[in-house]
Amino acid sequence: MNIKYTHVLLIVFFAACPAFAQDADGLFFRLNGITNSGLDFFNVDGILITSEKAGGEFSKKNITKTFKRYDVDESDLSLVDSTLGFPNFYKQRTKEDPAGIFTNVTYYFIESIDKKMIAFTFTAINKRDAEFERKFVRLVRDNAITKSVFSPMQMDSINFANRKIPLGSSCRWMGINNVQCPYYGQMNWSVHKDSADASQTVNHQYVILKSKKGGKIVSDTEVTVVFEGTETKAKKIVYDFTGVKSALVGMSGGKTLTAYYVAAPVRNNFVSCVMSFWNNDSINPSGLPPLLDQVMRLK
Amino acid sequence: MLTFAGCMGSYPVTTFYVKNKTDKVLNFKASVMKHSSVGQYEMSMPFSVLPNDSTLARRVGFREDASPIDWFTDFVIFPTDSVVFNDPKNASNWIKSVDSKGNPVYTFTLAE
Repeated sequence: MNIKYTHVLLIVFFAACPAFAQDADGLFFRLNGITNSGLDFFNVDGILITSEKAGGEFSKKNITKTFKRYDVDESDLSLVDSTLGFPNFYKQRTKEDPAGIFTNVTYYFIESIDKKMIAFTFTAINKRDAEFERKFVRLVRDNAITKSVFSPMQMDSINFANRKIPLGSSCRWMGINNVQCPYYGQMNWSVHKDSADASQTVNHQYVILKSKKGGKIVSDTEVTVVFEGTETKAKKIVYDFTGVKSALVGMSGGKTLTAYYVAAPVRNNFVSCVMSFWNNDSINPSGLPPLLDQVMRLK
Repeated sequence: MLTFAGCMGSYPVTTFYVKNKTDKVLNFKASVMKHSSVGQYEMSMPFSVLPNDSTLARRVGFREDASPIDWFTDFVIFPTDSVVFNDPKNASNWIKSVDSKGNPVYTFTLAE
């Protein structure tokens, strides 16, 4: 093959794959998205992201008027990220609850290529990756997020760390990467590029749930499980909600909630996953309800 | 009186079984309409069917000329890897027989 022909082939390849050309660290293999009422939700590396496009000229006044849900006023819009190279404002908020758990929310408001406005939120616990935020903002602005990362709101299957799991019409999204199947269990997960990040994400959820008032922890153990084919350790917590009146308990009618916290390598990435079910759910002889049976086995 | 009785028809006790001929546990949810003093409401029940086993999904006084799929308002099967399911909403998939007392029995096989 001569050099000229090789060059032509390379040009054709990269022209056909602009999105993947920008996906040097495999972001699109870890990223999941859903769209609901004009708002895009994403999840990757334990970070929850939203993006929302709106009409109107990019200005502080239009931003505060249009994106009311973010509760920012004009005085909040004083910081500009000059490295982005296009008009923008950003703002960061941090809240500690419970002790030691810092929820960082960064807001970006940018001018889109077609001179409209796009608002972003990045929510991460005990971390913030400004470089990733800039990269993601650029990808959305350039319309370079590949459509394949999006799942339909009306689900019949989920993309679980690059494995399609059919769920039929029994389940619904409770949030991005958060699936609830009435009687069959619930799970939320994130796909990470490194193991430590996955473990920390699961630990944060464990600490947050342990701090919640309302239920009583009756059991807190470590068990061996096989998660997506890999033997690993899971934290298992059983909460007793006997006598507790809350919307959560009232809906299910259950008395105890069992939750498993797992971080494990899955198909060249790492997954953090929290799975739960009520005592009155449909529990298979495996000891798990059908949804959890899809990804985990007890040893 | 005769006309009224004629409209009512016959409602023999009818049993609906769901069979699993695979070697995996299969799950489904059936919804039925219940009637109470405050009106009617839909109630869903989850079922697990063990490998090569069957479960009694409902036993009810059922009009003898009604379609066997009229016992539920919805029937949702939870997918299982590599199992091809039969359609519970297709009346011909409910096979009719009679029990020892001569009452109707319908059996639906989830998958084979």
